Amino acid sequence: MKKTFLVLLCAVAAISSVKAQDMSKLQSPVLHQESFQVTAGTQGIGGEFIYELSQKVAIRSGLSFIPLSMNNAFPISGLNSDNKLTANFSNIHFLADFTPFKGASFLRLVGGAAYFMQAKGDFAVQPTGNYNYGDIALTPAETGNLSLNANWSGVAPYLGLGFAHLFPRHFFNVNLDLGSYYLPAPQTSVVGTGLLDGNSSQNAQFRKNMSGYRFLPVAQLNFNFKL
Amino acid sequence: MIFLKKGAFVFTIIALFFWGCTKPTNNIKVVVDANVIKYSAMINVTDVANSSVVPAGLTINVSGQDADAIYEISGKKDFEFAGGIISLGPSPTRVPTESSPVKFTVTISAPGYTAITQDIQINANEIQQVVSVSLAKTSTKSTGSVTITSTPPNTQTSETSAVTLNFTGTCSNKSDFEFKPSNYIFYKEHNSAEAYQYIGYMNKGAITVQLQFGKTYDFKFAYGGQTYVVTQEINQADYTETVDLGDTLCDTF
Repeated sequence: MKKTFLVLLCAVAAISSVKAQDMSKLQSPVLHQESFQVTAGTQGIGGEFIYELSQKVAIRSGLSFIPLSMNNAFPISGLNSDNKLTANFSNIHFLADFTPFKGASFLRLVGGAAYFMQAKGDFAVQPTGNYNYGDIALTPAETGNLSLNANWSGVAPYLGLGFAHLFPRHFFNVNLDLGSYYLPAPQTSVVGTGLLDGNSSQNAQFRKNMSGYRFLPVAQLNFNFKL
Repeated sequence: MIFLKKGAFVFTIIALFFWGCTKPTNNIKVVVDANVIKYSAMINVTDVANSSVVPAGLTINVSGQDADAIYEISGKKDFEFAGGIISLGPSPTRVPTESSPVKFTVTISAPGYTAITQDIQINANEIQQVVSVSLAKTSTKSTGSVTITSTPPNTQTSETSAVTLNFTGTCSNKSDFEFKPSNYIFYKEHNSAEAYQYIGYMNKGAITVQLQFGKTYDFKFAYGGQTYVVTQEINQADYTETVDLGDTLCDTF
Protein backbone atom coordinates (compact mmCIF):
# COMPACT_ATOMS: atom_id res chain seq x y z
CA MET A 1 0.00 0.00 0.00
CA LYS A 2 2.80 2.41 0.92
CA LYS A 3 4.56 1.64 -2.35
CA THR A 4 1.39 2.38 -4.28
CA PHE A 5 0.98 5.76 -2.63
CA LEU A 6 4.65 6.57 -3.12
CA VAL A 7 4.32 5.86 -6.84
CA LEU A 8 1.17 7.97 -7.00
CA LEU A 9 2.82 10.86 -5.17
CA CYS A 10 5.80 10.75 -7.48
CA ALA A 11 3.39 10.81 -10.41
CA VAL A 12 1.66 13.86 -8.92
CA ALA A 13 4.95 15.66 -8.46
CA ALA A 14 6.11 14.81 -11.97
CA ILE A 15 2.83 15.69 -13.65
CA SER A 16 2.45 18.91 -11.71
CA SER A 17 6.02 19.95 -12.43
CA VAL A 18 5.55 19.43 -16.13
CA LYS A 19 2.22 21.24 -16.11
CA ALA A 20 3.62 24.17 -14.16
CA GLN A 21 6.16 24.63 -16.90
CA ASP A 22 3.40 24.35 -19.51
CA MET A 23 1.40 27.08 -17.80
CA SER A 24 3.84 29.73 -18.84
CA LYS A 25 3.10 28.80 -22.44
CA LEU A 26 -0.65 28.77 -22.00
CA GLN A 27 -1.86 32.11 -23.21
CA SER A 28 -5.19 31.71 -24.98
CA PRO A 29 -7.54 29.19 -23.37
CA VAL A 30 -10.07 27.41 -25.52
CA LEU A 31 -13.54 27.09 -23.99
CA HIS A 32 -16.04 24.21 -24.09
CA GLN A 33 -13.43 21.59 -24.65
CA GLU A 34 -14.34 17.92 -24.42
CA SER A 35 -12.28 14.92 -23.52
CA PHE A 36 -12.61 11.29 -22.56
CA GLN A 37 -10.48 9.54 -20.02
CA VAL A 38 -9.88 5.96 -19.07
CA THR A 39 -9.61 5.68 -15.29
CA ALA A 40 -7.74 3.20 -13.11
CA GLY A 41 -7.39 3.30 -9.36
CA THR A 42 -8.88 2.33 -6.06
CA GLN A 43 -12.45 2.50 -7.36
CA GLY A 44 -11.48 0.17 -10.18
CA ILE A 45 -11.42 0.84 -13.85
CA GLY A 46 -13.82 2.94 -15.85
CA GLY A 47 -14.31 5.81 -18.19
CA GLU A 48 -15.39 9.45 -18.00
CA PHE A 49 -16.64 12.07 -20.40
CA ILE A 50 -15.55 15.62 -19.53
CA TYR A 51 -17.00 18.92 -20.67
CA GLU A 52 -15.60 22.33 -19.93
CA LEU A 53 -18.21 24.84 -18.78
CA SER A 54 -15.83 27.74 -18.20
CA GLN A 55 -12.17 28.39 -17.64
CA LYS A 56 -12.61 27.42 -14.00
CA VAL A 57 -15.32 24.81 -14.09
CA ALA A 58 -15.69 21.48 -15.86
CA ILE A 59 -18.13 18.66 -15.37
CA ARG A 60 -17.65 15.00 -15.94
CA SER A 61 -19.68 11.81 -15.70
CA GLY A 62 -18.59 8.25 -15.93
CA LEU A 63 -18.72 4.67 -14.80
CA SER A 64 -16.38 2.68 -12.62
CA PHE A 65 -16.35 -0.87 -11.44
CA ILE A 66 -14.04 -3.03 -9.41
CA PRO A 67 -14.10 -6.74 -8.62
CA LEU A 68 -11.61 -7.62 -5.88
CA SER A 69 -10.86 -10.79 -4.00
CA MET A 70 -8.31 -11.77 -1.39
CA ASN A 71 -7.73 -15.19 0.11
CA ASN A 72 -7.23 -15.70 3.85
CA ALA A 73 -7.31 -12.00 4.64
CA PHE A 74 -8.43 -12.59 8.25
CA PRO A 75 -7.36 -15.95 9.75
CA ILE A 76 -9.72 -17.27 12.44
CA SER A 77 -8.13 -18.69 15.57
CA GLY A 78 -9.23 -22.21 16.43
CA LEU A 79 -11.10 -22.91 13.22
CA ASN A 80 -9.27 -24.68 10.41
CA SER A 81 -10.70 -22.75 7.54
CA ASP A 82 -10.07 -20.90 4.34
CA ASN A 83 -11.58 -17.49 3.98
CA LYS A 84 -12.07 -15.27 1.00
CA LEU A 85 -12.73 -11.56 0.97
CA THR A 86 -14.46 -10.28 -2.15
CA ALA A 87 -15.61 -6.79 -3.01
CA ASN A 88 -17.71 -5.70 -5.94
CA PHE A 89 -18.25 -1.99 -6.48
CA SER A 90 -19.75 -0.32 -9.52
CA ASN A 91 -20.96 3.24 -9.80
CA ILE A 92 -22.12 5.95 -12.11
CA HIS A 93 -20.80 9.31 -11.02
CA PHE A 94 -21.24 12.96 -11.75
CA LEU A 95 -18.44 15.32 -10.73
CA ALA A 96 -17.58 18.97 -11.08
CA ASP A 97 -13.99 20.22 -11.25
CA PHE A 98 -13.26 23.70 -10.00
CA THR A 99 -9.90 25.33 -10.64
CA PRO A 100 -9.60 27.91 -7.85
CA PHE A 101 -6.18 29.36 -8.59
CA LYS A 102 -5.32 30.81 -11.92
CA GLY A 103 -1.65 30.46 -11.11
CA ALA A 104 -2.05 26.80 -10.22
CA SER A 105 -4.40 25.51 -12.86
CA PHE A 106 -2.99 22.01 -12.40
CA LEU A 107 -4.80 21.83 -9.05
CA ARG A 108 -8.56 21.28 -8.99
CA LEU A 109 -11.16 20.88 -6.29
CA VAL A 110 -13.49 18.05 -7.24
CA GLY A 111 -16.95 17.46 -5.84
CA GLY A 112 -20.00 15.48 -6.81
CA ALA A 113 -21.77 12.24 -6.14
CA ALA A 114 -22.07 8.71 -7.34
CA TYR A 115 -24.82 6.18 -7.39
CA PHE A 116 -23.41 2.82 -6.42
CA MET A 117 -25.45 0.21 -8.23
CA GLN A 118 -23.34 -2.38 -6.49
CA ALA A 119 -21.24 -1.91 -3.38
CA LYS A 120 -20.88 -5.23 -1.69
CA GLY A 121 -18.25 -6.85 0.44
CA ASP A 122 -18.42 -10.54 1.26
CA PHE A 123 -16.26 -12.44 3.72
CA ALA A 124 -16.75 -16.18 3.23
CA VAL A 125 -15.38 -18.76 5.64
CA GLN A 126 -15.18 -22.41 4.64
CA PRO A 127 -13.95 -24.95 7.21
CA THR A 128 -11.23 -27.10 5.70
CA GLY A 129 -9.84 -30.57 6.17
CA ASN A 130 -11.55 -33.45 7.88
CA TYR A 131 -13.69 -31.73 10.44
CA ASN A 132 -14.82 -33.87 13.33
CA TYR A 133 -17.36 -33.61 16.08
CA GLY A 134 -15.68 -35.80 18.67
CA ASP A 135 -15.10 -39.10 16.85
CA ILE A 136 -17.72 -38.38 14.19
CA ALA A 137 -16.32 -37.30 10.83
CA LEU A 138 -18.54 -34.59 9.42
CA THR A 139 -19.25 -33.97 5.79
CA PRO A 140 -18.59 -30.45 4.43
CA ALA A 141 -22.37 -29.95 4.22
CA GLU A 142 -22.80 -30.92 7.89
CA THR A 143 -19.97 -28.61 8.91
CA GLY A 144 -21.38 -25.78 6.82
CA ASN A 145 -19.91 -22.42 5.97
CA LEU A 146 -20.13 -18.81 7.05
CA SER A 147 -20.68 -15.63 5.12
CA LEU A 148 -20.46 -12.04 6.37
CA ASN A 149 -21.90 -9.50 3.98
CA ALA A 150 -21.91 -5.71 3.87
CA ASN A 151 -23.79 -3.62 1.34
CA TRP A 152 -23.25 0.11 0.82
CA SER A 153 -25.39 0.51 -2.31
CA GLY A 154 -26.91 3.95 -2.78
CA VAL A 155 -25.90 7.54 -3.34
CA ALA A 156 -22.53 8.71 -2.04
CA PRO A 157 -21.10 12.25 -2.15
CA TYR A 158 -17.54 12.74 -3.34
CA LEU A 159 -14.90 15.30 -2.44
CA GLY A 160 -11.33 15.38 -3.57
CA LEU A 161 -8.48 17.02 -5.36
CA GLY A 162 -7.50 16.73 -9.00
CA PHE A 163 -3.98 17.14 -10.23
CA ALA A 164 -2.98 18.11 -13.78
CA HIS A 165 -5.24 19.42 -16.47
CA LEU A 166 -8.50 17.83 -17.48
CA PHE A 167 -8.01 18.83 -21.13
CA PRO A 168 -4.78 17.87 -22.87
CA ARG A 169 -3.04 20.65 -24.74
CA HIS A 170 -2.50 18.24 -27.55
CA PHE A 171 -4.02 14.77 -27.83
CA PHE A 172 -3.22 13.03 -24.54
CA ASN A 173 -2.24 13.59 -20.96
CA VAL A 174 -2.40 11.89 -17.60
CA ASN A 175 -4.03 13.40 -14.56
CA LEU A 176 -4.72 12.23 -11.06
CA ASP A 177 -7.65 12.21 -8.64
CA LEU A 178 -7.27 11.87 -4.89
CA GLY A 179 -10.36 11.99 -2.72
CA SER A 180 -13.08 9.92 -1.19
CA TYR A 181 -16.67 8.90 -1.48
CA TYR A 182 -18.73 8.93 1.71
CA LEU A 183 -20.78 5.78 1.42
CA PRO A 184 -24.21 5.10 2.93
CA ALA A 185 -24.23 3.22 6.24
CA PRO A 186 -23.70 -0.43 5.35
CA GLN A 187 -26.41 -3.02 5.67
CA THR A 188 -24.86 -6.17 7.07
CA SER A 189 -25.75 -9.81 7.46
CA VAL A 190 -24.10 -12.91 8.87
CA VAL A 191 -25.35 -16.17 7.46
CA GLY A 192 -24.20 -19.66 8.40
CA THR A 193 -25.15 -23.16 7.36
CA GLY A 194 -24.71 -26.57 8.97
CA LEU A 195 -23.02 -26.36 12.37
CA LEU A 196 -22.44 -22.66 11.76
CA ASP A 197 -26.09 -21.69 11.33
CA GLY A 198 -26.20 -19.95 14.72
CA ASN A 199 -23.90 -17.18 13.58
CA SER A 200 -26.63 -14.70 12.72
CA SER A 201 -26.23 -13.71 16.39
CA GLN A 202 -22.93 -12.09 15.39
CA ASN A 203 -24.57 -9.61 13.02
CA ALA A 204 -24.88 -6.85 15.64
CA GLN A 205 -21.13 -6.96 16.33
CA PHE A 206 -20.35 -7.14 12.61
CA ARG A 207 -22.57 -4.11 11.91
CA LYS A 208 -20.79 -2.24 14.69
CA ASN A 209 -17.38 -3.16 13.25
CA MET A 210 -18.41 -2.05 9.78
CA SER A 211 -20.06 1.20 10.87
CA GLY A 212 -16.75 3.07 10.43
CA TYR A 213 -16.31 1.86 6.88
CA ARG A 214 -18.03 4.80 5.19
CA PHE A 215 -15.15 6.29 3.22
CA LEU A 216 -14.16 4.81 -0.11
CA PRO A 217 -10.81 6.45 -0.88
CA VAL A 218 -10.13 7.27 -4.48
CA ALA A 219 -6.57 7.38 -5.78
CA GLN A 220 -6.95 7.23 -9.49
CA LEU A 221 -4.83 7.77 -12.58
CA ASN A 222 -6.73 9.09 -15.57
CA PHE A 223 -5.52 8.60 -19.13
CA ASN A 224 -7.07 11.51 -20.90
CA PHE A 225 -7.79 11.85 -24.64
CA LYS A 226 -8.88 15.12 -26.19
CA LEU A 227 -12.00 14.88 -28.31
CA MET B 1 9.40 20.76 -2.64
CA ILE B 2 5.97 22.27 -2.28
CA PHE B 3 4.53 19.41 -4.29
CA LEU B 4 6.04 16.87 -1.92
CA LYS B 5 4.50 18.72 1.02
CA LYS B 6 1.12 18.73 -0.68
CA GLY B 7 1.57 15.06 -1.51
CA ALA B 8 2.35 14.25 2.12
CA PHE B 9 -0.76 16.15 3.17
CA VAL B 10 -2.95 14.22 0.75
CA PHE B 11 -1.38 10.95 1.86
CA THR B 12 -2.12 11.82 5.48
CA ILE B 13 -5.76 12.60 4.67
CA ILE B 14 -6.20 9.25 2.93
CA ALA B 15 -4.48 7.43 5.77
CA LEU B 16 -6.94 9.05 8.18
CA PHE B 17 -9.81 7.51 6.23
CA PHE B 18 -8.62 4.10 7.39
CA TRP B 19 -7.38 5.06 10.83
CA GLY B 20 -10.71 4.96 12.61
CA CYS B 21 -11.81 1.66 11.14
CA THR B 22 -12.16 -1.46 13.20
CA LYS B 23 -11.07 -4.81 11.80
CA PRO B 24 -14.25 -6.32 10.27
CA THR B 25 -13.89 -9.51 12.29
CA ASN B 26 -13.10 -7.75 15.57
CA ASN B 27 -14.87 -9.56 18.45
CA ILE B 28 -16.75 -11.73 15.96
CA LYS B 29 -17.07 -15.26 17.30
CA VAL B 30 -17.51 -18.33 15.17
CA VAL B 31 -20.59 -19.86 16.75
CA VAL B 32 -20.67 -23.64 16.44
CA ASP B 33 -23.98 -25.36 16.97
CA ALA B 34 -23.36 -28.61 18.81
CA ASN B 35 -26.65 -30.16 17.82
CA VAL B 36 -24.91 -32.90 15.85
CA ILE B 37 -26.47 -35.81 17.67
CA LYS B 38 -30.05 -34.78 17.20
CA TYR B 39 -31.66 -37.87 18.72
CA SER B 40 -30.52 -38.95 22.16
CA ALA B 41 -31.32 -40.74 25.38
CA MET B 42 -30.02 -39.32 28.64
CA ILE B 43 -29.29 -41.93 31.28
CA ASN B 44 -29.32 -40.74 34.87
CA VAL B 45 -28.15 -43.27 37.44
CA THR B 46 -28.75 -43.04 41.18
CA ASP B 47 -28.80 -45.34 44.19
CA VAL B 48 -32.24 -46.89 44.64
CA ALA B 49 -32.01 -46.30 48.38
CA ASN B 50 -31.03 -42.63 48.12
CA SER B 51 -31.61 -40.66 44.93
CA SER B 52 -29.03 -38.06 45.91
CA VAL B 53 -26.29 -40.69 45.84
CA VAL B 54 -24.55 -41.58 42.60
CA PRO B 55 -22.95 -45.03 42.65
CA ALA B 56 -19.19 -44.74 42.42
CA GLY B 57 -17.32 -46.33 39.52
CA LEU B 58 -20.24 -46.41 37.12
CA THR B 59 -19.60 -48.06 33.76
CA ILE B 60 -21.81 -48.61 30.76
CA ASN B 61 -21.62 -51.09 27.93
CA VAL B 62 -23.50 -50.48 24.71
CA SER B 63 -24.56 -53.42 22.56
CA GLY B 64 -27.35 -54.34 20.16
CA GLN B 65 -28.18 -53.79 16.50
CA ASP B 66 -27.26 -50.10 16.31
CA ALA B 67 -24.43 -50.11 18.86
CA ASP B 68 -21.84 -49.13 16.25
CA ALA B 69 -23.78 -45.96 15.44
CA ILE B 70 -24.15 -44.86 19.08
CA TYR B 71 -21.98 -42.04 20.43
CA GLU B 72 -21.80 -40.05 23.62
CA ILE B 73 -23.43 -36.66 23.05
CA SER B 74 -20.03 -34.97 22.61
CA GLY B 75 -19.49 -37.27 19.63
CA LYS B 76 -17.08 -39.54 21.44
CA LYS B 77 -17.02 -43.32 21.45
CA ASP B 78 -15.73 -43.31 25.03
CA PHE B 79 -18.73 -43.85 27.25
CA GLU B 80 -18.00 -42.17 30.56
CA PHE B 81 -20.49 -41.11 33.20
CA ALA B 82 -20.24 -37.66 34.70
CA GLY B 83 -22.06 -37.33 38.01
CA GLY B 84 -24.20 -40.34 37.15
CA ILE B 85 -25.21 -38.84 33.80
CA ILE B 86 -24.48 -39.88 30.24
CA SER B 87 -26.32 -39.01 27.04
CA LEU B 88 -26.16 -41.35 24.08
CA GLY B 89 -27.46 -41.08 20.55
CA PRO B 90 -26.94 -42.17 16.96
CA SER B 91 -24.56 -40.45 14.57
CA PRO B 92 -26.09 -38.06 12.02
CA THR B 93 -25.97 -40.80 9.38
CA ARG B 94 -28.27 -43.09 11.39
CA VAL B 95 -31.55 -41.26 11.51
CA PRO B 96 -34.43 -43.16 13.10
CA THR B 97 -37.47 -43.64 10.91
CA GLU B 98 -40.91 -45.01 11.61
CA SER B 99 -39.99 -48.32 10.05
CA SER B 100 -36.47 -48.38 11.41
CA PRO B 101 -36.11 -47.00 14.94
CA VAL B 102 -32.67 -46.91 16.51
CA LYS B 103 -32.25 -49.81 18.92
CA PHE B 104 -29.46 -50.53 21.34
CA THR B 105 -28.96 -52.09 24.74
CA VAL B 106 -27.11 -50.64 27.70
CA THR B 107 -25.69 -52.54 30.63
CA ILE B 108 -24.97 -50.32 33.61
CA SER B 109 -22.88 -51.52 36.48
CA ALA B 110 -20.96 -50.23 39.45
CA PRO B 111 -18.85 -52.00 42.08
CA GLY B 112 -21.11 -53.25 44.88
CA TYR B 113 -24.28 -52.79 42.82
CA THR B 114 -26.37 -55.21 40.79
CA ALA B 115 -25.98 -54.42 37.12
CA ILE B 116 -29.01 -53.48 35.05
CA THR B 117 -29.47 -54.18 31.36
CA GLN B 118 -31.98 -52.07 29.49
CA ASP B 119 -33.12 -51.96 25.87
CA ILE B 120 -33.42 -48.44 24.49
CA GLN B 121 -35.38 -47.54 21.39
CA ILE B 122 -35.28 -44.13 19.74
CA ASN B 123 -38.23 -43.52 17.47
CA ALA B 124 -38.51 -41.04 14.62
CA ASN B 125 -40.69 -38.66 16.62
CA GLU B 126 -38.71 -39.03 19.83
CA ILE B 127 -35.85 -36.56 19.80
CA GLN B 128 -35.08 -36.77 23.52
CA GLN B 129 -35.83 -39.24 26.27
CA VAL B 130 -34.75 -39.61 29.87
CA VAL B 131 -33.80 -43.02 31.22
CA SER B 132 -33.78 -42.94 35.03
CA VAL B 133 -31.89 -45.90 36.40
CA SER B 134 -31.85 -46.83 40.07
CA LEU B 135 -29.18 -49.34 41.02
CA ALA B 136 -29.50 -51.51 44.08
CA LYS B 137 -26.59 -52.60 46.19
CA THR B 138 -25.80 -56.30 46.04
CA SER B 139 -25.78 -56.38 49.83
CA THR B 140 -29.46 -55.50 50.01
CA LYS B 141 -32.63 -57.24 48.97
CA SER B 142 -33.75 -54.20 46.99
CA THR B 143 -34.03 -54.42 43.26
CA GLY B 144 -33.06 -51.75 40.78
CA SER B 145 -35.52 -50.04 38.48
CA VAL B 146 -35.67 -48.19 35.18
CA THR B 147 -38.11 -45.42 34.20
CA ILE B 148 -38.21 -43.92 30.72
CA THR B 149 -39.91 -40.61 29.96
CA SER B 150 -39.81 -38.44 26.89
CA THR B 151 -41.25 -35.20 28.26
CA PRO B 152 -39.51 -32.84 30.66
CA PRO B 153 -40.97 -32.54 34.16
CA ASN B 154 -43.47 -29.78 34.84
CA THR B 155 -41.84 -27.49 37.40
CA GLN B 156 -44.42 -24.72 37.13
CA THR B 157 -46.04 -23.58 40.37
CA SER B 158 -47.81 -20.43 41.50
CA GLU B 159 -44.41 -19.12 42.68
CA THR B 160 -42.44 -19.72 39.49
CA SER B 161 -41.97 -17.62 36.38
CA ALA B 162 -40.63 -18.41 32.94
CA VAL B 163 -36.91 -17.76 32.69
CA THR B 164 -34.82 -18.19 29.55
CA LEU B 165 -31.24 -19.27 29.95
CA ASN B 166 -28.82 -18.88 27.06
CA PHE B 167 -25.71 -20.99 27.52
CA THR B 168 -22.55 -20.20 25.60
CA GLY B 169 -19.51 -22.43 25.78
CA THR B 170 -16.10 -20.78 25.41
CA CYS B 171 -12.68 -22.25 24.80
CA SER B 172 -9.65 -20.57 26.32
CA ASN B 173 -7.46 -22.01 23.57
CA LYS B 174 -9.76 -20.84 20.77
CA SER B 175 -10.60 -17.23 21.42
CA ASP B 176 -12.60 -16.71 18.20
CA PHE B 177 -14.84 -19.65 18.95
CA GLU B 178 -18.19 -20.08 20.72
CA PHE B 179 -20.08 -23.26 21.28
CA LYS B 180 -23.87 -23.55 21.58
CA PRO B 181 -24.55 -26.74 23.53
CA SER B 182 -27.58 -28.92 22.98
CA ASN B 183 -27.91 -31.07 26.06
CA TYR B 184 -29.99 -32.15 29.05
CA ILE B 185 -30.03 -29.65 31.93
CA PHE B 186 -30.31 -30.49 35.61
CA TYR B 187 -30.86 -28.06 38.42
CA LYS B 188 -31.10 -27.70 42.17
CA GLU B 189 -31.16 -24.86 44.61
CA HIS B 190 -27.70 -23.57 45.38
CA ASN B 191 -26.17 -25.16 48.51
CA SER B 192 -29.10 -27.56 48.75
CA ALA B 193 -28.38 -31.14 49.82
CA GLU B 194 -31.04 -32.36 47.41
CA ALA B 195 -30.12 -34.27 44.29
CA TYR B 196 -30.01 -32.51 40.93
CA GLN B 197 -33.32 -32.78 39.10
CA TYR B 198 -33.76 -32.94 35.35
CA ILE B 199 -35.44 -29.72 34.17
CA GLY B 200 -35.33 -29.87 30.38
CA TYR B 201 -33.34 -29.96 27.18
CA MET B 202 -31.50 -26.91 25.95
CA ASN B 203 -31.53 -26.59 22.20
CA LYS B 204 -28.60 -24.69 20.68
CA GLY B 205 -27.78 -23.23 24.07
CA ALA B 206 -31.27 -21.96 24.89
CA ILE B 207 -33.82 -23.28 27.37
CA THR B 208 -36.88 -21.73 28.98
CA VAL B 209 -37.76 -23.09 32.41
CA GLN B 210 -39.94 -22.28 35.39
CA LEU B 211 -37.95 -20.86 38.32
CA GLN B 212 -38.57 -18.79 41.42
CA PHE B 213 -37.34 -15.21 41.41
CA GLY B 214 -35.02 -14.38 44.28
CA LYS B 215 -33.60 -17.89 44.49
CA THR B 216 -30.16 -19.04 43.43
CA TYR B 217 -29.86 -22.21 41.41
CA ASP B 218 -27.11 -24.50 40.21
CA PHE B 219 -27.53 -25.71 36.63
CA LYS B 220 -25.62 -28.75 35.44
CA PHE B 221 -25.02 -30.57 32.18
CA ALA B 222 -22.54 -33.28 31.13
CA TYR B 223 -20.34 -33.66 28.07
CA GLY B 224 -17.66 -36.23 27.42
CA GLY B 225 -17.46 -37.46 31.01
CA GLN B 226 -17.28 -33.96 32.46
CA THR B 227 -19.91 -31.96 34.26
CA TYR B 228 -20.36 -28.24 33.85
CA VAL B 229 -22.12 -26.28 36.58
CA VAL B 230 -23.37 -22.69 36.40
CA THR B 231 -24.76 -20.85 39.43
CA GLN B 232 -27.24 -18.05 38.90
CA GLU B 233 -29.48 -15.99 41.15
CA ILE B 234 -32.77 -15.46 39.32
CA ASN B 235 -34.11 -11.92 39.30
CA GLN B 236 -35.06 -11.43 35.65
CA ALA B 237 -36.56 -13.35 32.75
CA ASP B 238 -33.44 -13.75 30.64
CA TYR B 239 -29.85 -14.71 31.37
CA THR B 240 -26.77 -15.38 29.30
CA GLU B 241 -24.52 -17.94 30.91
CA THR B 242 -20.93 -18.47 29.82
CA VAL B 243 -19.28 -21.82 30.46
CA ASP B 244 -15.58 -22.54 30.02
CA LEU B 245 -15.59 -25.90 28.28
CA GLY B 246 -11.94 -26.66 28.94
CA ASP B 247 -9.34 -27.91 26.50
CA THR B 248 -10.53 -31.54 26.56
CA LEU B 249 -13.83 -30.76 24.93
CA CYS B 250 -12.63 -27.79 22.88
CA ASP B 251 -9.92 -29.84 21.21
CA THR B 252 -12.47 -32.27 19.82
CA PHE B 253 -13.72 -29.64 17.35
